[in-house]
Amino acid sequence: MPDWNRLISERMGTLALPREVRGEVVAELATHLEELYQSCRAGGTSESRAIEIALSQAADWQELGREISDAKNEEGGMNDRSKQFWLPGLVTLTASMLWLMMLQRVSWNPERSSFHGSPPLMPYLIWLITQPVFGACAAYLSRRAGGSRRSRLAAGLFPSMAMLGVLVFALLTGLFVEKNPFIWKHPGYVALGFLPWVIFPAISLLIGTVPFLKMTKPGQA
Amino acid sequence: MIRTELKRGTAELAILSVLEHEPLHGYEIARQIEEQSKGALQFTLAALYPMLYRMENRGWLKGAWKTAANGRRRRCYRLMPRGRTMLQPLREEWANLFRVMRRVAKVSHA
Repeated sequence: MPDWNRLISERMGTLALPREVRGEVVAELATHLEELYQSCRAGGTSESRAIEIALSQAADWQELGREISDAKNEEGGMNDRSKQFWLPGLVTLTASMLWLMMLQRVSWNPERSSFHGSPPLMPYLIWLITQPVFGACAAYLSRRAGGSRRSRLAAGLFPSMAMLGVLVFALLTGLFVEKNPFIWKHPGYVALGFLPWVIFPAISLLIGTVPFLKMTKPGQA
Repeated sequence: MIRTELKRGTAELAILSVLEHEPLHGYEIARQIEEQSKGALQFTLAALYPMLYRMENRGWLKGAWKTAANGRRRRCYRLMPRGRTMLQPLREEWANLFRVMRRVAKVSHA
């Protein structure tokens, strides 16, 4: 029985693929040739002729190697996870944060502010009640890219998830790097910070996301 | 014998169709296509695998190593929901093409 792995590796030369993927490709092609070889042998073909038939499956093995590398490396611009989760999520997070910054900037400029004299929480409240729009946009973008329900939900809640990550990082840094005594003494008080920046926005984003979870294109999850 | 260019165009539909009912490994895919097309469509290894890898990258198929009862390991491909979604439009596209060709070139069923 010929060593198909060796024969293929020698013929294809180097592939522009990670070592592990290259090994898998060679092994897969080897099983194909082995099946063909055994089928020929079972049909009464001589061993040397069966090997010849198997190896003639590719006229140019180096060209095949290049084609396989291209096919394996082909991403089509962006992979599915990027289109269905990362892109909608990041676009929404950026838009939501810019909107918050704009509201705060206006409220801090008394001459131009329409919030002059209004409660200090007003920019935050306006930002919060407009969050369903951002959740809806993210879920819509994800759905348009063929995202599953889970992708749409994750994309819609992305701003809250990002904020959760930031707050957890800040909390851990305060606790273990800066060893901030206030955080150590009042962990419950600090944890309350999660309500306005994670929990409430998540609920608000979810309100906008939900309608896009129900509407499903044919064939999608 | 069908021309090479047309074969290339039909290849994706042929692969999706044979995987519609059960997962298959590469050699079996090629064998079934050849058998079902009565030898009109023949996939060499060089034609089959770059196409399978492209379809896998697009999320139409998913390949996974499986060990058969005789201990032989093979990479089997199964149709993913996205590939299944592609089947019907591709079938319609080809049906339309044949309809048009029947009208224009007076091509009829063999």
